[in-house]
Amino acid sequence: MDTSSPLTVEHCPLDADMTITAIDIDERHRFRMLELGLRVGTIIRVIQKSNFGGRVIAKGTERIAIDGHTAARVAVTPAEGV
Amino acid sequence: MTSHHQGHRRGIAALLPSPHAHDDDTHAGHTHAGKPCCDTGGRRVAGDGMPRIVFIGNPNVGKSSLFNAILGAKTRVMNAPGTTVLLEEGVYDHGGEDWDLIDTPGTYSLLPLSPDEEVAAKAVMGTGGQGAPDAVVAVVDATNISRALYFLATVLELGRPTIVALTMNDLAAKQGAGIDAGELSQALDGVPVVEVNGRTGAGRQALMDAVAAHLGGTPMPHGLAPVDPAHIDVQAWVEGGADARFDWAADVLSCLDMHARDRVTVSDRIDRVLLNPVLGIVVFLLLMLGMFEATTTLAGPAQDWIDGSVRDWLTTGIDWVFALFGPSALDTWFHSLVIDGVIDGVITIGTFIPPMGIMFILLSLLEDSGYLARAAFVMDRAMRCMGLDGRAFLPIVIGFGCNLPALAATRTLPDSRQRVLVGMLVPFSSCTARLSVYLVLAYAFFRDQAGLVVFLMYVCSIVLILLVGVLLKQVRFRDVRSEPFAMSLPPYQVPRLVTLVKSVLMRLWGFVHGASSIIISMLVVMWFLQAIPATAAAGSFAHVDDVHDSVYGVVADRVAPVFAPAGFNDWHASAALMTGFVAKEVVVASMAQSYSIDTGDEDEQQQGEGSLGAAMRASFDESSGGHGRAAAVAFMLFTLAYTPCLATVAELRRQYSMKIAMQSVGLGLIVAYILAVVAFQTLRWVL
Repeated sequence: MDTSSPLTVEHCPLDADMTITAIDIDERHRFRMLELGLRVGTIIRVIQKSNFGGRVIAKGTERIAIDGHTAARVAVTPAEGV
Repeated sequence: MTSHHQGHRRGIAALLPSPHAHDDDTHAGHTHAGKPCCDTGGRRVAGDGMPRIVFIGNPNVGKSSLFNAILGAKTRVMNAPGTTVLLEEGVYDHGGEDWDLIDTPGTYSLLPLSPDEEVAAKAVMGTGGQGAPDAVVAVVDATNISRALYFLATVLELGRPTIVALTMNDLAAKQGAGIDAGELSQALDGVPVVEVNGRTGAGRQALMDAVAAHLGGTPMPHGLAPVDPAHIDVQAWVEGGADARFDWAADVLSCLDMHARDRVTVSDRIDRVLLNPVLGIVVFLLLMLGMFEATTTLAGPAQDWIDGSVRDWLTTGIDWVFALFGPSALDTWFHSLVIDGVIDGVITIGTFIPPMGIMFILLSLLEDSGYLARAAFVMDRAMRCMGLDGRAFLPIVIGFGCNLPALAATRTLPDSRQRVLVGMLVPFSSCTARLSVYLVLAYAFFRDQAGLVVFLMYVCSIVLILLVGVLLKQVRFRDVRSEPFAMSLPPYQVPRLVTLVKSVLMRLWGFVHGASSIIISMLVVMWFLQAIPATAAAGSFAHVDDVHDSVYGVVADRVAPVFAPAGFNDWHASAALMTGFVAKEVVVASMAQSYSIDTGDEDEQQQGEGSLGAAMRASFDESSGGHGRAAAVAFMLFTLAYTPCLATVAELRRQYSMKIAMQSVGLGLIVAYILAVVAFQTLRWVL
């Protein structure tokens, strides 16, 4: 993994609390992600890796599946104090 | 008359939708399109006096199950005006007062990303020619409460009387996040909240009572500002207020006594297998194989029983009734019409009930269990090349068994454009009915390589689906493109038997109801064409000895020259293809009949290698100038690509519209003709 690149949902460890720091997709779909509850500052956990980089994200009791392309564009950082 | 139905199995079916299904005019009458609402004593009701209640919510929250539990068999499916987006509607009797209930496609937002979401948004906003709802039932999923509250906030801001139907609360409770409906209502400043269970129907009466009690209006919770959807920039309103709505949702959540624990659930454990990068695909493919087998192998004996025993019983019964009028009644044209036209139609519909019933059961199981959303995720990448949802894989695979249940399976696609695109691709899936044609011709013309030839026809089918898919995407579905995949996964649930049986019976009734009229009328037309003598020596009405001497034979003669560039300018072939338009199962029987060959109980190999094969070789060699094998390949390719059967045409019309059904027929004929001509003109140099 390129350590100079920001950590993304695609590469972050499983079952670790992470905070979303950026969502680098087009405006229309970024807003949809927001409506799904995935906003900058939201704490999430990646709980399942699927094929072609797809990931399942847990946000509380909610489960959201995203494809590999999108997972690579959601930047995260380890959540502090959780 | 010798009818074509002999040897016919599981095939001839043609269907017209019910008089109201997909009828935009009818729909308009029920949704009060363009009609102003009026004030009836403080209650807004639509133009025809029926309050219009719109159900809205996120996808996979049990909204449709709840809707069906409330309405039961009174539910009917229709297209939203001017679209192929499906809406469910029904009239509900509440204490003697009729309400117009409308179920909308699931959506995460009132800012739509697809036509389906647009229809849902317009229905709840009362824009786009749709009347304003007199009340909104907002279905809120307790297991995804923060997102559901965000969406609820946008719905509440519309200012319509809104009643919250709280679903999945039992699952939320298992996760330690159960919600008290009264507490939530209090947190919403008195907006009524009713806990319901769409799978069991529990709470539905209380919900409808709450709707009745609040048709006059519901409170606007503090922190939300009402808007007039007819006079706002929807995008600016939805986007501009998003943060405030999330803050509002957080405030509401803080008022609730919830003990949500972020822990590993049973669904998470199941997903470790079903969404595993490797196992997930293996399980999905095994499920597809199971569904394929169920709709073909498992349904086969039941279809044979209906086509054999039930047909015999009906025929015997009708013969008995006719015999009451004397022995000569059995030899009348009317007796022939009833047996070879009407009863053939009834049996044809009957033979499609087993595979359709099995498909409806399996679809309900997949939907109700929560797996279908996972299937979309697992196959997302594979179908992305055509801009399709992962769920599109299902109908295409099923199509290789039978195209009819495959078209039914397109209903699982949430995007109406994708639904139509896949619906137009399904007929290119080589169903088992076409296999009988391949086998006979392969053994007749390529005895030693028959297996290879049949295999290559299936390869051609897959290539055709891909090529036509890419072509349609470029020409007709340019707006269908790969979208980022982001979907909420519902928790797994064990499907309820009673709900499943009800749902399957309702769907089956919809199919039979839509099927019966056109199938019978088309077969009656076919009967008349074959019953009318066209030559002096042909015999009398309904007693034409040779089908070539009937009007049907004359039409086949006229059509045959069209196929000269494909190498089979022969009336036997064109008559078989015309009959094959009704059902592919009858192509071989039609050929045998036109050559006056009794194939008896011979299987396809014996037919191909026997006298039928010899007659076909002679005909095709003659019509192709000595390139019979090239013409045979062209004939098989034409059979592969043109309309599978009238049943699929009618189902396309029932599911989408007559225009799309006709486009599909035209596309199939054009592709089939080009394919056959190119194949013959190329292969005649080597075969």
